[in-house]
Amino acid sequence: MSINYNFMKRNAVLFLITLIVFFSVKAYSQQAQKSHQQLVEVSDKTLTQLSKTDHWRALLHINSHSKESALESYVDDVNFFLASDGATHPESELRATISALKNNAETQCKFPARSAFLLAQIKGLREEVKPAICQEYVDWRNKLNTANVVLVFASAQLNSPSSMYGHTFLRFDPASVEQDSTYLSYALNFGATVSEGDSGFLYAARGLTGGYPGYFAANPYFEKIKEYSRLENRDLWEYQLNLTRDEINTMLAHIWELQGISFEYYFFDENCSFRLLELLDVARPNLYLANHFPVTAMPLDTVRVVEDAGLIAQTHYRPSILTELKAQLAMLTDEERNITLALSKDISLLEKKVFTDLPKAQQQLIVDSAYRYLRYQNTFNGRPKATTRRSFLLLKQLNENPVTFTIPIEQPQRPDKGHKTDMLGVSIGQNLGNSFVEFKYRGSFHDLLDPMPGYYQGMSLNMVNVMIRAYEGGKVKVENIELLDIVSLSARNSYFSPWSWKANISIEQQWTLDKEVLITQGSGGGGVSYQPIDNSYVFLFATGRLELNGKLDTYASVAPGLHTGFLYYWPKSTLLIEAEHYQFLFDQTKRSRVSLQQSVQLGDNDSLRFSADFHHVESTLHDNKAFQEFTLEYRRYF
Amino acid sequence: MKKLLIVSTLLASTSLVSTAALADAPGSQSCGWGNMLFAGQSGTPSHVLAATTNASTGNNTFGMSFGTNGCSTTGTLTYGGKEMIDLSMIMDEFSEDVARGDGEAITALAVSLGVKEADRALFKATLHNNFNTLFPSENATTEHVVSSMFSLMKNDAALVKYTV
Repeated sequence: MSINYNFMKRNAVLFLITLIVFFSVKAYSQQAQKSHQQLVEVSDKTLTQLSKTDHWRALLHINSHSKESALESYVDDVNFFLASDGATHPESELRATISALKNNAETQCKFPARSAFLLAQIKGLREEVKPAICQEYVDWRNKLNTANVVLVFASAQLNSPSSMYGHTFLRFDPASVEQDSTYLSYALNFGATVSEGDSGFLYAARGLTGGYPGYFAANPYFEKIKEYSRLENRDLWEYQLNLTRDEINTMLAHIWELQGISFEYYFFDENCSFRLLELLDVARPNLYLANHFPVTAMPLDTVRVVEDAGLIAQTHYRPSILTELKAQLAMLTDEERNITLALSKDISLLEKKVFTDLPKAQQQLIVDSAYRYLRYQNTFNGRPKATTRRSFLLLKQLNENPVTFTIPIEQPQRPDKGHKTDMLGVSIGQNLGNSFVEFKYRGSFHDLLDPMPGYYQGMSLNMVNVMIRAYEGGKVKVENIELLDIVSLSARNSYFSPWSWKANISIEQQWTLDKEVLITQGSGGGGVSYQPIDNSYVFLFATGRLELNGKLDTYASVAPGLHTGFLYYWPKSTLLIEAEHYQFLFDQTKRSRVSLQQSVQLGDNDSLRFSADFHHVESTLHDNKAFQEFTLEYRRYF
Repeated sequence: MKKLLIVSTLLASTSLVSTAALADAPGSQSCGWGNMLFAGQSGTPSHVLAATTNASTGNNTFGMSFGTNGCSTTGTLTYGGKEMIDLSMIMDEFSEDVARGDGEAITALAVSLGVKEADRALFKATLHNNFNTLFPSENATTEHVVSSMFSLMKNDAALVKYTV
């Protein structure tokens, strides 16, 4: 946003505008005589029809596919409506807006998009509405000077699968934006407004259930980069949209109408992504993007819908600070890595032979790595004196050495090009010697063995996963209803020491006493994982399980346990070998499971999976029981 | 729509004030210049909360807003009447770019100062070669960085025009 450029451009534009206005004022006086006549032509029928158009409904955030009797705006703020029943009656709102425009020209400044729509659609209205001085709005538009709109997708956060669904917001690039200066662009985010100091699970729950009001808020893009790329270590995907000037104009005019307007914020459906789709629907009214998401709007899926609508012109990948750091550390040899680590702790190494004997290029790589690593480590440490000093001296050293290099970062597969997020599976198998067919539906999203392109290794997040089995002989059983299943593997090495964790809540079949019973359980664990070789993980969790099972000695039983495994990724296939053991505390039941699973990706949205599970149940109440289960499953993602 | 904008822009022009007036100057009452290099963040954010609410930072008005140092409400600052990006917001990124000689932060600064593309390389090289002047120690403040940058530019025949 170069101010100089803008100012000069503005002067030239102003001159042009003066000419245009001069002519239009002349035309205006001629038209004025006809206006009365034209007004009569605007019949009630026209207004009714106009209130039913997709454009008008999109402007009011009313779902255009709702039944006529059940219309309701998503906006929960009375300030957004001019008619008292405007939220549910688009026609009243339309009539109220027209009379407001006639009575008070300032209405145009509060509702520029609505005004433009009505002035363009209703014959003669323009003659009845005085021009208004919308200083604030014009300043804002000039400041933005938008030429391009970019949809930004913030991908998953390392070790935080709850962020795996991602986040989306819009970026507005000024006409003068040149390569690498999107720092100055304007970012518009829809999110819940949480008072400072609110944190913890209670508040997270409020976020899920609509307890917070949602607003649009604006920041410069560099603030967003800082927030996502540096503080949260999330890669950003920037999708430039092919909106026309007029579409951008309409969109911004409408965004202005939403300033300070509150929506209810719901994590699952009326979230950041859903609101952005509504804005796109306003910009290009025949898209109906928001109608794709009656139940949930997963940010990743909304990106896909935008892509399917042909809105994406270009894609740009912005790796996070951590992605960059890891790529850089991967460039180092073992010896260089050791010096880097030592240097990040002890700056005097710069003077020592072990460093000074190295060639300049190698020195620079080490200093740069040590600098980045130190900064990364201290992201949340405030400003400790010693670290700050060391960082500065490294930066100074970096500046003195003229060698430059680039970090090779390969652009990963676009997340919106990965497998889709709903899944249907059908499998054949054998359990306890009985054959079965199993049908599976999963609402979201990705487990450790699903096809990898577009997803991160070591992360699994599944919600609503229902499995029903039909055994030979006709018996049908609910095998498992998983509400939540998370596994987050973050590898530890000499630089990073994150924890890995998992959580699971389900209703499932468990062999108890002498048969399978349907039980409810919640379990979780924390532990460590390592990457002994590329594309692999070994992990170990200490786990705990709470099981509600009428067949056990105590109805609510607690079992500590261990879970360990090995995971290996080939380009189109994944192998998981794991072993799990639980020892119930009161009841003397012990359960063990060893399992092997291998998946093969068939296409973008198809995969095959083989699994073999070996179970062993020990109890003082009954004989030990060992049984196996084998399945072969086909999965279709949609 | 267009007409509406056109009319209002014309009327606006009669009372056109330089947008620079909207930005704060360093050292003014509301604008502290305490920001130093590596000012740092403290406290770990709540991931769970962030994930379920995608909480909006800043307030809900559409002028770009910040909550950190009270210096600017628009992301820009003035220095001697000259409007530019608020460097205090991107000090760490900027210092790194100066050390390396290139990067997004230094480009953003150049663009915000109106440095033309032809002069960008010179602008970046000038700052890069004077890292020690701009950042004499880890306690360099934004104010020091900005004023020394302007001195460097004023002493350069090609860059002096961007200081006014």
